[in-house]
Amino acid sequence: MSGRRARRSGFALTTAIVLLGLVGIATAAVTALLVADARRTTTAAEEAQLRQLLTAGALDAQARLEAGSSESTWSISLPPDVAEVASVQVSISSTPDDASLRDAQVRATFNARHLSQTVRFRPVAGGRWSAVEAQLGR
Amino acid sequence: MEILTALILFGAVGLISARLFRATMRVTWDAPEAQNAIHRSETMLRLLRADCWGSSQTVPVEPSGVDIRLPDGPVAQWRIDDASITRTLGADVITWPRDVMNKGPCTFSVAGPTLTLRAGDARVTMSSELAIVDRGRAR
Repeated sequence: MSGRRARRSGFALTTAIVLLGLVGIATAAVTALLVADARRTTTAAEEAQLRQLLTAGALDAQARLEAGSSESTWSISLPPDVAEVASVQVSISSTPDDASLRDAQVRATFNARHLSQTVRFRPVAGGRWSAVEAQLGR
Repeated sequence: MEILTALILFGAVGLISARLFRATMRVTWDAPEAQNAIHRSETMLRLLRADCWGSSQTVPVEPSGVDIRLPDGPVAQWRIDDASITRTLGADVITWPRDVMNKGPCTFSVAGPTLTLRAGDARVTMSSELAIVDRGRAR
């Protein structure tokens, strides 16, 4: 009698373990997908912020070129709450093939993520500078 | 009575196990497939965004395409048809399956410096840095 009960409880235990295993595999797969999705959402939000910062850097570079600034490297001052997690560095140099053109290298950092771009400016009438090329880096 | 109960329990466990097994297999197959689809769509959007970022002109092309003029002259042609999304730049042709984006109608629209890709309910908007910088100077 007790041997039969032991066999029955062994069957129940095995069945329960198999079912738990199946549920575990499915849960692990769904969890991995959800984690990847959450990470992707965070990345997309941070990259959108980084692109905004790159645009701010390009506009600042253009403004400084038009103001005749001699600085070649600087950081953009950001609002305090943004500055805690973000920074933008800009550097300007002449292009090797045409001394009249200027390349602005803009590098934005947000949390641990970076994005950069190179914007090429050409002088136009009235002391202004026009963007003629923009290349998004990593 | 005991045997009948055991048979009913066997049947129930068998039924549940079969369904659970099928569901598990489907989920474990679908999850990596979904990850791959995400990677494909991200690759495509990254390239589209890079084209748009440096574009000097973006022109919509009927019925569902867009020509993106890059600063140094060449035009990246993006086309959507029933089966695929294609980017052609000179001899370089890249094709993604149409379902790389969400299901539903997939279209481009252009408004000023922004290009919007609509796919079903989803919408991805990207902008031309050149147009934005020059617009900023004009203000």
